[in-house]
Amino acid sequence: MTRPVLTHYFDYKSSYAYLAQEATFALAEQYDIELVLVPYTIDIPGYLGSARVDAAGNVLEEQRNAHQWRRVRYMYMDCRREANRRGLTIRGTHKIFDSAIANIGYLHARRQGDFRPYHDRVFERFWKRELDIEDPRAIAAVLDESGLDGRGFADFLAGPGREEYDRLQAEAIAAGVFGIPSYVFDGELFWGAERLPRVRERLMSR
Amino acid sequence: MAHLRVTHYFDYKSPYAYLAQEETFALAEQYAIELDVVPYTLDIPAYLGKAEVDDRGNVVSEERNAHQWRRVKYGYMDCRREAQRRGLTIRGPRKLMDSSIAHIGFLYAKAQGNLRPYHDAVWERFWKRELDIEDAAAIAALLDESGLNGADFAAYLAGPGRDELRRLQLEAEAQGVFGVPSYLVDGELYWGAERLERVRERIQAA
Repeated sequence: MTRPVLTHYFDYKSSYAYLAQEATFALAEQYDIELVLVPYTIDIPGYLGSARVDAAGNVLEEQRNAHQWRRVRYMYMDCRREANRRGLTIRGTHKIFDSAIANIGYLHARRQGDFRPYHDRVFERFWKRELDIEDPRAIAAVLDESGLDGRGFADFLAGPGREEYDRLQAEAIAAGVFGIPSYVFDGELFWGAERLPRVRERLMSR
Repeated sequence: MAHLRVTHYFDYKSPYAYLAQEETFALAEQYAIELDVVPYTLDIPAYLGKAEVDDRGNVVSEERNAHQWRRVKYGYMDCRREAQRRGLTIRGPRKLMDSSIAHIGFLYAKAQGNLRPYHDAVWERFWKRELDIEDAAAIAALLDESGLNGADFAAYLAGPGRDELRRLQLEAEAQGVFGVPSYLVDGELYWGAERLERVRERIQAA
């Protein structure tokens, strides 16, 4: 009998996704399920507009209305607040990063074996601002460090990796995913780590 | 010694705010706080675009991208799911309602020192589609039914009520409020009923 599948959508550039990792993996340890991680690239500008700030936080350029600014500022404050409770470091970013390369790095990691060391390192270091996730060589280096093949990453990224990534993105959108972190269990979508108690209820009531 | 003030922002057209009411008022019973309930009229198009649907749910008009549609659909599904757990009825509205008249009705009731009967009735009936919150006469009738003087409502609505609502909105936005339900405790903002646990911790730590 196959174990039920819990799909978890993440994006390395989402601080809320970072905060959700511990509870997500804990679920997989508590219940007899197969946890499947799928990268999903959130379209931040489509919802929150976009902006670039300098080191002092001054806005260099922006396409963001007042409402979106209040929302963005709240999210930074809320994530820092949650991170402080957990002893995690979340440093604000100057711009919206393109996380596709790091997300494809995850796909490369998981087809080789244990993706966890890569996955945990990318999350921690990106949010400490110690890793440029837009640099394919930096991502390859993390793969190497995590006991995986970093040299083959460039080819994977240029070809099959990008294709798989695009396919997964389209699949996620078809499933209704719009934000991160998200969970799908038995066809039912849950958005936000705040809905993990509901996910747990579903797992318990099987 | 003055009690700690907890300000709660709501909007009658938000199903999430409706779902949060019970737990919000329970706060005031569990803790020695001053619960200040304040209407905040959401500008939904600013982040979710807008659309109108007919009786069958077909889209009649829209200014909403695909991402926003997925987000909106999820919101309704998630609220219905939560409502079912609680035995509440939430029927999706066909268009974005203007809740400002009902909010001014709330301010009218609050000024007379008796907001709960009106407040609870608006929530329940609007979400059962038994009350047109854009109908000033219907709001005045509800004020009468709630033991308040609805005859003076029209004059309040035409002038001071509108000004008061606007003043409260600017005050809220100066504090960073962008959505509902929200809670402000000693200048610290919490958005979403999911953060009520943090609000409780904050109250306990005061």
